[in-house]
Amino acid sequence: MLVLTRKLNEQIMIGDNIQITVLSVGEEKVQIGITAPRSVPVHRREVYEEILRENMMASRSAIPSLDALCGLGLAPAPSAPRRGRVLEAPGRRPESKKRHAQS
Amino acid sequence: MSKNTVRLATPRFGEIAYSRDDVYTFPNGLVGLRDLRHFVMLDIDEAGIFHCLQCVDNPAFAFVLVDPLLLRPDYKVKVDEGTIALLELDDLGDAVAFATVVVPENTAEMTANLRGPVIINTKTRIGTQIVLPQSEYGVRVSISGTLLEAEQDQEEELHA
Repeated sequence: MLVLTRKLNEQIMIGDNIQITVLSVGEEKVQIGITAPRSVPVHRREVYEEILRENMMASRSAIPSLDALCGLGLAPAPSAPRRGRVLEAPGRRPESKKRHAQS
Repeated sequence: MSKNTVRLATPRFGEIAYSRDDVYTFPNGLVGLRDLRHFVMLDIDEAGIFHCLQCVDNPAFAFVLVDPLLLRPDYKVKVDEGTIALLELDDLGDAVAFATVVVPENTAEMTANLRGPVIINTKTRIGTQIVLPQSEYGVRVSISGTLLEAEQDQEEELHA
């Protein structure tokens, strides 16, 4: 592993277009800013691994048979909202795509 | 048959036929599965509760999806500018969210991942999977439990 020492507000470049900034340093936490192209998703590692694990398990899942579903009594309630609007806009418009993660 | 039609052998559904126009493109793949970029959506139950996102790049991968609103009627996803741009989303109302489902041998123990929803722009057919930061939603939410609870609530409302 490459180990670099950085001071507050100093940066690291990964390739030409991924920029890491040390935003604040506390006793047990470091705040890091990441600017990366959209094609590079950024996640906290423990969450990433959890979602990846679920994805792998989901991809191996059998397709539930209709019998199994009927047995569970799974029917959409007539009044249940279906395919409704679930997306909410971001709170404020950032100047550039900047993501912060604490670790 | 249209030259747009593609036939694909899949382990779960046998041979399927789909039109190239039906394909959903995930430019970043799924979380940890970046090579899975092209999918078709199959309806797998008559009630329309579950759908299947069948990967056409690697037919071994297929994901059962459920509408998260069936599990949490107040389900909300806050998307960032990057996701909006990736999906080429002009109107947030054009997007639908799905939760991936894990189906164990005992189907009563099915769970849905509400923390890492699959978001699809129905206009551009571009999709992605996002991870909700510090989310109140879990990655293994029991499906039968939630639906049964919802049903009971409804009955109680009817009786009230």
